[in-house]
Amino acid sequence: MKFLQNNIVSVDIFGISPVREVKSSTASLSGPQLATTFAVGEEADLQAAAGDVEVAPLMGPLNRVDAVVTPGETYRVEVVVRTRKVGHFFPGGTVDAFDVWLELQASDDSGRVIFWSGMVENGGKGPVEKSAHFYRSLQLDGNGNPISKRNAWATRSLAYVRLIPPGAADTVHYRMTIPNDAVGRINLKARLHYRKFAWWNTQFAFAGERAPGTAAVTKDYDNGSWVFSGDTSTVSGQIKSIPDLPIVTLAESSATLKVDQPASTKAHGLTKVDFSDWERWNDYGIGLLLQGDLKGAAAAFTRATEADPKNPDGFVNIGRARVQEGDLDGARAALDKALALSPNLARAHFFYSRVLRAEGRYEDALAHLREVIAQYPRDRVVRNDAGRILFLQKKYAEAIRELQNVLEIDPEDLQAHYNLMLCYNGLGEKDRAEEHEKRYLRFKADESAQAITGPYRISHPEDNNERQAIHEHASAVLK
Amino acid sequence: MKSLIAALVLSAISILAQSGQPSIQFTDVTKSAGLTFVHYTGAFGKKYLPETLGPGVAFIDYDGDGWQDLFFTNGKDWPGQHRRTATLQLFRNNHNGTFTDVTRAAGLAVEVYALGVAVGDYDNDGDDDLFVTAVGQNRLFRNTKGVFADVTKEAGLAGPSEFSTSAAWLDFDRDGNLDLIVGNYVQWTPETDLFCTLDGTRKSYCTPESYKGASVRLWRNRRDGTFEDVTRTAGLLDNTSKTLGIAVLDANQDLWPDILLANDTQPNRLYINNGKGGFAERGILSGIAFSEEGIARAGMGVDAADYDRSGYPSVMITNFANQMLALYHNEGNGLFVDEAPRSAVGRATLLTLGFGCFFFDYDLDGWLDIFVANGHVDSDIERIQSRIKYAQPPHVFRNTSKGAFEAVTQSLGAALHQPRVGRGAAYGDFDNDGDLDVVMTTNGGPAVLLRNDGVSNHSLRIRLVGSRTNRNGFGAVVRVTAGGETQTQMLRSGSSYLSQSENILTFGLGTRMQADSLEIRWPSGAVDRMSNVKSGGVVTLTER
Repeated sequence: MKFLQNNIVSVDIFGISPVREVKSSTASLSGPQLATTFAVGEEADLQAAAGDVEVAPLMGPLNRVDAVVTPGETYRVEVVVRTRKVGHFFPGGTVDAFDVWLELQASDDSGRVIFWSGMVENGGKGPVEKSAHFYRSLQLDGNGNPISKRNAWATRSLAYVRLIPPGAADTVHYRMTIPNDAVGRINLKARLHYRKFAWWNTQFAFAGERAPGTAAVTKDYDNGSWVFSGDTSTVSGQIKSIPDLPIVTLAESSATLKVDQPASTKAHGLTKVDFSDWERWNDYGIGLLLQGDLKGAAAAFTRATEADPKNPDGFVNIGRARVQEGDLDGARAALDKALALSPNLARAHFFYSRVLRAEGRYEDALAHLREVIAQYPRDRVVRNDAGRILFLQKKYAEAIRELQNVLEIDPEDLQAHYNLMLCYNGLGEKDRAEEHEKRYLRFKADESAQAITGPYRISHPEDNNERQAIHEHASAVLK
Repeated sequence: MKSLIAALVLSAISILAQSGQPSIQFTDVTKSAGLTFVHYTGAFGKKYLPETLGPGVAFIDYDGDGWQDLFFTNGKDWPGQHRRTATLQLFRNNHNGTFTDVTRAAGLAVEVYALGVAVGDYDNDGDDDLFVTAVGQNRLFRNTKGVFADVTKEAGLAGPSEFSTSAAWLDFDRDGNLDLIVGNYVQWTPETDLFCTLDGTRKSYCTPESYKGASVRLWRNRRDGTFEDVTRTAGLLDNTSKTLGIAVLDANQDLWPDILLANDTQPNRLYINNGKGGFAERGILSGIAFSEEGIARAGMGVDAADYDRSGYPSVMITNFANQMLALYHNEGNGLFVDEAPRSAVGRATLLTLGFGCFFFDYDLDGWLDIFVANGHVDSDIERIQSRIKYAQPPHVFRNTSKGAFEAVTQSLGAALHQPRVGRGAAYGDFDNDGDLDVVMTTNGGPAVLLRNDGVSNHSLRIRLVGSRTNRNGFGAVVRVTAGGETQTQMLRSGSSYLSQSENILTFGLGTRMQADSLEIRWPSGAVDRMSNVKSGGVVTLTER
């Protein structure tokens, strides 16, 4: 418990944005569109009104600014989960079987719950409600059944995977409506929970039996169903029943929102850029960057640079967002600032090399990569980049030497095998090229297996929602 | 005085920006040409996958009068919706810069959710026929003296309902009759349409990875007006493909036509013809199948040409936004190396999403340039990316003759600066002035006809007529030598995206007025040679 609760991850209710219906000024060229057919939780039956929905500017960081909300209005609540003392992806290991999820609850001063995502059913003993925000790998077997029994041998496709890299962040979006009769303030509480095994897996492991008349298991899929009626009197261990696994709260965050009447409420964004909030802004931006919201990420990183103009990482991260978009000039401008602050910063050199390579300035790109390699000789992403540039220069033998460095770090590195195949092809060494082609094909993902997710996505709208890089969670509380 | 100097400086800059012929402009003549086509997607709020893909366009001389006419594919209402009647459209060239809608008279007023088109004379009767791909049943329209008849059933092409995209005519077995290759995208129905979102709130058009793919189909011409499906026996059956673009090329220069498939979220395929009725897939080893990380990406439009006179055709494939156009240079040994970063093509195409594309010599200097029609698939992209827009201007890249290109879109007239949601694109000399004009389609919007003006260089334009070879001359390789320099082009159907350019080869001669020598290698094996072929008009060369 001490280990789990030792600030290995943190949660930050970062900010909120009013969600406003605005008149569309730019006519959509593909004809009139209804708003989302988003079918999660209670919003499944809502027919959203026609017209564009704009996410208005942010109020945040919360507990730094005095955020005010209006009764009857809807808001996007932004919660940031950050890994701190983890040297690998979080969670790691049996990521198919954990219950790791974020809970957000909001109540007014009368104690009435007005929003709740991520509750545990059956008074805390059952499964986590299915529209919560999970950190896990949801895999499917050959027939689209979820891998829920630690039956990894049957994994054939991936519905989604959400894990937080070390020292990185995830930005979670919730959509919350303030009731017209809210009493006092709105009190938000976000908690990151951990349960060693998901509820279903625990039931199955202790008392799972094949439902009578059900199809037999195959090595590729399990179309049958299970009942939890097994005799637990003979299970190993001292508890002779299906245990109620403890739920540990790894981190939590609270924030308070003032509620005010429409006439006196500022409907605009409200932010404060304080030196000590650099990390809050940067973490928020990292979460957005990893989702592909490059616009939001660049804006958040810009705030970070305003909070601390001397911290080069804010500029590096603006550069990253721009590199990802393909805005080379914009990336260069940001990275130049980072390098001016910290000329040896390996991160800045790395992204700079990406800009130069995209411009065909291969020698200059390599020069920057060599700076990085001198500091991090065992970073295989960097080695792969160097190998790729040498390949593009048609210096096949040199490229091969560089790419061999990658294989010494990870003999299964996909990108290295792919580019080694091409290099040997360039040298005319067909046998060697085919050796690497074999390994590349062996280790690569099977793109076509993604088709297994199609029917699953249709029948599991909550998991389909989780799959979207950018998505929102509604309250699962039924009125 | 100051303003005079400023004017001189400005014109000097624009001259330098466009080394060669500063006067070249592409003029938008859509209105004055009377080209009234507007694409109908059938969209009614559900954002069905096919809606964002089309339409395609083809230059076709359907009445054989020596003037290029225009054909457009079109969508229609989805089942249960009755908002509009929309059909395919054919516009006849009036020889005076204007066009007339002759759809009904030509027998093409057909409602079908169409996407792509391939133009070819499959029955060798002298009239170019039309193959139209669709969501549902593809159609073969046989042309008899300017009137089209739907012969899909009689030709044996009626079959399972598929989601077909680009197609091309080619004589894969070199028996003198055109066969047909048809790309298929995914297995999709309105009932299995998936929800996805770019911004977390609104539905967007989805990428296709969660849908099952569908194999390309190869139809062999039986020479009696019917076709047989030889996909499996030819080694082309692959149900994981999700094809959007097709190019026919001779990748290894063995005189047998090869096939390149641009697949979306699946590896691109390079099928090398073995000369014995079959193909072997070499895409992975060749380096054109994946991104540089070894990961499949989107691939929409495609073309192949020997742009640097290396003796081998290189390949370009348009990709998604945040990704470069791929310019795979054919090294001649089975390997392709992406030259996009080293040329202006890479940098300029990062912020655009390309669809239709082709190599063409717009300034007639003897070096093949590039045109790309751009446009995103969903307007919601602007909510999460700052520089990427839904509507985007096209690209024109001028070949510098040193194996590289320069971006010249900015200096070719205001019409090219206009952002549009571009899709199909084709080139053709519609005003018969010897240079290549461009037609572009937009998704859910009007077509755009761009007339090439101000070219002072000369061209040699060649129409091929096969006798033992298929009548169009597809697959024939023409080498033109002028002033000691030799250019090579292969006449083919397909390429670009859902579209087809005119069936005429254009060689830029620069300031010269004739080609010193010309050689045609016909797929039949025959080789014809001639010398001192003068520029001007279209030269018709018939296989001896």
